[in-house]
Amino acid sequence: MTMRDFDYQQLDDLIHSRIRLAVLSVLVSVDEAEFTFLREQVHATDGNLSIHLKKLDDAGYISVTKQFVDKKPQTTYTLTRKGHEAFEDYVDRLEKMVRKP
Amino acid sequence: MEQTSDLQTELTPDQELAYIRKIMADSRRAFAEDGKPYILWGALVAIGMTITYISALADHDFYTGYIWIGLVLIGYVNIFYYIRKKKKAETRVKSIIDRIQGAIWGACGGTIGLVIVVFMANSTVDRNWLSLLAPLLVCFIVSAILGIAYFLSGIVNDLKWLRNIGFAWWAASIVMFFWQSIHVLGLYALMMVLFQVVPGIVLNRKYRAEQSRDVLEA
Repeated sequence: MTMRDFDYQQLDDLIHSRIRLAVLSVLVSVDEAEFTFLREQVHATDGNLSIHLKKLDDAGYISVTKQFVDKKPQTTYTLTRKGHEAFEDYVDRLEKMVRKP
Repeated sequence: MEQTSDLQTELTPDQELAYIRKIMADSRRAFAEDGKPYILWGALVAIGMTITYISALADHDFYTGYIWIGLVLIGYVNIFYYIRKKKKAETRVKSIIDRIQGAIWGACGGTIGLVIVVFMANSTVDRNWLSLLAPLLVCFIVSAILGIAYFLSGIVNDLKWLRNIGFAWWAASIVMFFWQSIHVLGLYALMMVLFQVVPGIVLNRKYRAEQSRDVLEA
């Protein structure tokens, strides 16, 4: 079975990118994660990850908190309700595609 | 075409679902228990209980009260530094699993401490029938509480073997209640090694293996 057999139009374009999908998969597993933790889990460069995080933030899928911890800047990310619902919907659609004969 | 879309289109839905599951599992591994508190408390209590057991068999007090105070102090000082170190690491990522885990052991550990203090205080104030039974009752109650802690911990961490240790502690608590022998103290020391120190070592090995895998992957 190849990707050509599936109608990817049904999937949320914003999530349908490996890095953004990975970011949401990490955030759905935790309460909140710092930038460096996400970078390690997603295996992306700082610049690339930042671009994808910005897109998710703009869409309202994640929320960003910037603070100072021990005088060092720290950016943490949390999945929003909208992001949670979008991720669940994305996974549901994928499962339906897999089940489809 | 955006920078990463080419990576995504190579995946079929089932591969994509597998990818999601892998990322989620990898993220949860960040909260895997390192087993150190299990080893620490297991070893300290096993030492204290063995000395208490020998004292009871020899009918001679080898300063067991002072030894217990020393062991508990060593335990609390080490746990204090352990929690402080863990809190620093937590600034990178937070999870409900970690909080539930902390709540289980915090509540059960606190209850165990309360039971021990109440029985010790009762024995010190008045040597009544309860103070004579205190060591055996403490073993029974503490084992039952450890059963709860292990059972819940196993479920939260999705580790069946850890959950089953809860059954072992519950079974031991029943034995300890009905046996009513001084050998219960020896049994308790043995239980501490087998069902507290050994699980701690297993968790620690697993944790270290995961950590080294993470380093290799990075």
